Amino acid sequence: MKKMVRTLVLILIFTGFWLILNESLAFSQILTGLFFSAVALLFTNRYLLEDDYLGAYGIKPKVLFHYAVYLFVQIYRSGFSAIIKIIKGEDAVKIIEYETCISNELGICLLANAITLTPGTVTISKNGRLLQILAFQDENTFTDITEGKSCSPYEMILRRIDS
Amino acid sequence: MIDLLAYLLITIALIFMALGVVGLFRFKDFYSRILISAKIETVGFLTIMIGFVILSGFSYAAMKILLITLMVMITNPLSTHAIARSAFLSGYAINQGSRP
Amino acid sequence: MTFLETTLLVIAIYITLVLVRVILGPTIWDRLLGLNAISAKIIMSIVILSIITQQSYLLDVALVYALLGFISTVLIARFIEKKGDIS
Repeated sequence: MKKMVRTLVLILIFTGFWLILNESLAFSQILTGLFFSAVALLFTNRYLLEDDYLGAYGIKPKVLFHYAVYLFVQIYRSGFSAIIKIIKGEDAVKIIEYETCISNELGICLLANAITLTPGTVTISKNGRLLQILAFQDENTFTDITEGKSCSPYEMILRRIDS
Repeated sequence: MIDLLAYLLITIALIFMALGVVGLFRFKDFYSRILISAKIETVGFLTIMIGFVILSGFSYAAMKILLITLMVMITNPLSTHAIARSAFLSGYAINQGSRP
Repeated sequence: MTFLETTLLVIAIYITLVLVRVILGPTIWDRLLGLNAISAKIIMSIVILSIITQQSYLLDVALVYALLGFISTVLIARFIEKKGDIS
């Protein structure tokens, strides 16, 4: 029952994308959109993924919204710190080894994406729960956490990902 | 009045992108260049797209611009990550340019 | 000359400057970085053009350009990483 509801919500979201791309709200357009959304979901489930679509990409809307807002603020905050770096012109970099406290695979991927999206750090490699991060010499957000053995703010948000 | 806000946002984005281009020429090492310049691009892109959405009002075009912004926000870090990983795994040494 | 046309001109100047970096770039990854930056700037230019001419089908072109730029960057990066051995 729960799976049916989630599939229906996904089909409605895809239909919304179809209507935006076609720029019309006619009845025939909505019918075509529903049909193609269902076909696309079925095709992805059958041929492109190894496990189920809902199992691989299940994420709570509340967590996603919180993550997006936090990321938006963080992008601008570190954008301004990057300007200072450009004016000063320091260029020594280092590599940090960092182990996350998230066990969900999608959560780790979202964390790596967030690290790359904020200026000053780039994720280089991911092996299980171990991430390799390229950062400037004076960057200390992640080294402090490794000594203190607690989670960074990103992970506190992403830990509640699986409902 | 609301157009003025959009113009202000677009001007801020252009200043951000100018700093990104300056960073591309100022740093000597490849790794520091990728850390700074590709990320300033992200801030500039987000700001200028918000400006365009305000400028075009509430219409299908505005929603399409939002769709483009969402897609670029997802794919841009992935391509930066691919370039950095390619350089690192090919054995390009850290701090090569700043070494005497 | 309106504000949007001036913006278009400034973005064109930025693209030219990044192109200098692509030509000078000592390693191939510098060139890839420049390619990525140029593709983002071209998407912005297409969106500005669509607002100036009030024709929204140009936005579809921008969408396709974003996808193609992403795919080409990732493909070239992986091709170099595996030293030409894609299997």
